[in-house]
Formats: sequence, C-alpha cells, structure tokens
Amino acid sequence: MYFENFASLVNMGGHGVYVWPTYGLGLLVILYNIFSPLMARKKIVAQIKRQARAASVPKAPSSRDRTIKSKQQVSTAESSRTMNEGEVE
Amino acid sequence: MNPVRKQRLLLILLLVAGVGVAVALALFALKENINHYYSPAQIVSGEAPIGQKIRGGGVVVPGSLKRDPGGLKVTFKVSDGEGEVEVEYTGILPDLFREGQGIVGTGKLDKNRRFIAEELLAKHDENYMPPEVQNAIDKAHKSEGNQ
Amino acid sequence: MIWYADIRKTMNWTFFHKLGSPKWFYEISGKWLPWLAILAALMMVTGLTWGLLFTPPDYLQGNSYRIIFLHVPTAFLASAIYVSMAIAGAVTLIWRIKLADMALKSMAPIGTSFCFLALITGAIWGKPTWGTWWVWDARLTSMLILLFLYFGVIALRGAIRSANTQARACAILTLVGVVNIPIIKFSVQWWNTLHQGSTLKLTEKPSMAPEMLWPLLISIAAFYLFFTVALIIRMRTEILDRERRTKWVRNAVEAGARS
Repeated sequence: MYFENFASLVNMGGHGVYVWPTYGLGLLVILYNIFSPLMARKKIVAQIKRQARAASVPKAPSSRDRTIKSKQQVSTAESSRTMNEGEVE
Repeated sequence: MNPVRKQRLLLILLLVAGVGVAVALALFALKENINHYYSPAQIVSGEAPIGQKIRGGGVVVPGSLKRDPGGLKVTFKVSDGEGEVEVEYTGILPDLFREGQGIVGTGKLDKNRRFIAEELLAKHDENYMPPEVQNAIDKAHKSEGNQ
Repeated sequence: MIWYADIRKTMNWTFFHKLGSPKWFYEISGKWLPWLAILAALMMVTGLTWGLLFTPPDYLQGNSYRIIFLHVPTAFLASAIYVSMAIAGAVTLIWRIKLADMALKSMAPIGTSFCFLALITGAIWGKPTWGTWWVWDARLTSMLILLFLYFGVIALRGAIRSANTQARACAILTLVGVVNIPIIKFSVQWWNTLHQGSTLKLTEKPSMAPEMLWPLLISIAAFYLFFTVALIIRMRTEILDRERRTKWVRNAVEAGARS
C-alpha cells in the first residue's frame, strides 16, 4: 500500500476529506444499482405469484366464462414481440 | 429494409440532424459567452474588453512570478504561446499554482491590458504521473540546459 | 442468384427476430448473469482498491487525484449509456421492438446514477485542485444538461399512461438529446474550458503513468460490466412484468425464479 499507516491513509496528505466522501458516495451509487433492481424484481415476482394463485381459485363455469377463457388462451402462448400486431414482416 | 421502416429511419436521422443544426447555430451565436475565459492571444489582440469583468487564463510563464515584499500582492505573466499578459493578484495563490501550469482568473483589464485578477483558479493539464517521474523529467531538462 | 438473396434475407430475419424475443433474452441472460456478476465484482474491487490504496500520488495533485478512479469511469458511462439509449430508441421507433423499449427504460436509472456520481465526484475533486466546486464551463454545463435529460426521460415515462406512447415519447426525447453527447466529448477542444483535455485518447498514447493507468482501465471496464449486470437484472424484471400473461413467465415464476 502507498500509505504507511492508518492515520496517513485517512488523512491522505490533507486530501482525505475530499477522497473518502467521494468513495462513500461511489459505494452508495453502486449499492443503489445492486439493490434497486433486486427489490423491483422481488416485488414483481411476488405480484405475479399472487395473481397466479388468485386466478387458480376454481369458479363455477358460466356461458360468459367460456368467451373470456378463450381470449386468455390466445395470450398464454408467447406474446408478440412488437408493439402493433401488423408490424412483423 | 421495408419502405415503412426506411421512412422512419430517415425521419429519425432528419430529427437528430435538425436538432444538431439548431444547437450548432445556437452555440455559434453564443460562442463568446461559452468560452470560459479569454486566452492571452485574445487579450493582446484586443478581443477582450477593458474595464469589464471578464475571465482570463493562460499558462504561467516560468520565472515571471514576482512577490511584493510588503504584502500578498503578486505579479506574473501568462502565455498561450501566441500572446503574453501580465497578471496582478492580491491574495493567497491556489494550492496548485505552479510555473508552467495554467490559471484562470476573474477580474478586469486595466488600460494597459494588464489583468487585475480578483479571483484566481488553478487549471491543470491532463497529465498524471508520480512525483519520481516528474523529478526525473526535471533533472533531464536541467542537464540538457547545462550542456 | 435470387434463391441466395432469399436465404440471406431469411437468415437475417431469423437472427433479428430471435434478438427481439423477450423469452430468448430472458433465458440467455439468465445463463450469463452469474458469471458477469462475479467478473464485475472482482474487477470493481480490484480496480478501485488498487487505485485508491496502491498507486503513487500525482506529482501535481497529490492524493486528490485518486477520485479519478470513480470520476472517469462514471463520466464515460454516463455518455455511453445515453448513446445506447438513443440506439434503443431508434430501434423502438423504426422496428417497434418491445425489447428495445424495455432496454431504454432499464438503462435510464443506471445512467442517471452514474451521471450524478460523475458530477458530484468532479465537484468534490475540483475544490482542492481548481479551487472551486463548480464553474459554468462547457464540459461541466453539458454534463449537467445530460443529467437533466436523464431525469426528463424518466419523468416522461412516468407521466404517460399508454405503453406505446411512453415508448415513442421516451425514444424521441432520447434521440433529441443525443446531440449533447458530441458536445460533451469535444467541449474541451472547441472552447476554453476550466476542465482539462482528455487523458485517454483514441489515437495517441495516454498521458498517464502506467502504474496509474492500469487501475483506471480496470475500473472503467469494471463499471461497463457492472452496468451490464444491473441492466440485465432490470430487463429481466421488466420482461416478467410485461409478459406476465404468457405461459412461459408463469412457469418461470412457479419454478422459483430467483434472478
């Protein structure tokens, strides 16, 4: 290490008061970019699981359900990757 | 690429080019204001106004630094290779003030085009090296000078 | 030769068609993610500790120059990410590929945080070196404008309801702002700025001693990798969110999707 003892490491020739806060901020930004995506993912996965559980509660079938169900079946296959249906070549 | 997409690509390029031209024109019109400081060549040539608060900068000419024995007043010369301006400043010089390095100051030009600086900032170049390397370079220059 | 042209057209279409598939991206990125994350972490720790603790001080700036190992990588990335967003925006507008919009949305917060860090580390570095926290020179001002553009893209997305309109508006704003990027890059050449010129140049030797240069290059690469990892995690979540009605997402979530 360039610095000979802990005191000079903290002090950095008088510049420690500038260098250490920047590295502290750097650490915060790095942590934000780790935890923000991970927390968002947890939230969405939990949401999807909850919705799947709610949807799997059995219901008495009715004629109306038949039409709704057939619409759902269309979208369970892989959905279109473009935004408007007519765009794919 | 199908014609619809080609058209969209063209529109995007046009959009970006259009914004680019608009910005270029704006920047050109504001050129003087965007230059953070007047260079010595600009001060010598008369481009910089006298008596008005301006920013000026340049590289401190080695050997030009003179300290007033009584107080904090210093005078030195700055150059950009094309012009030379004398600077007068009363105050503590910034930490990084060195001969051969740059400065930027805020102040006014007097009628002799001397720059009376009220505020002085140090400018540094893009070179980074350890002190030993700099010392070696200095020594090499000195020995060249002695030859 | 007509059949040859047909085959080439089909091959290209299949390749790009696959690239546009959220499911394909999800599956491929899942395989790469752990390795990229480990590599990013190793490089980040190596580059930053090396630079902070094991390099000599600068002949002129002393120990304050150590801020460079955070400042330069984040500054590079703030611009590079914005350019990537502009490319994603162009793809969104021309080909309407959803994955491109997902990429643009996911890149924005990462780019914003890096731009913010670049500005603030620069300001803190400026105080002991230049003698001031801030000046309105061309380099600093254009970087601040970049931060505002980033905020603008994020705010715009939040303000729009429809997914299609969101995608198009954000793409257009990003493309309009991309003009700022060459301004940032060339600001120190085109105008007299307090900020110095480039240390790392494309065609010339870098004006930095090797013992300082190596940790800097490693830190830059580390931040690029780190961006990629953060981006992949965000995009995978975005895919799960937007494709939640599909069977494969339901299966993936059932199977205990972790990251």
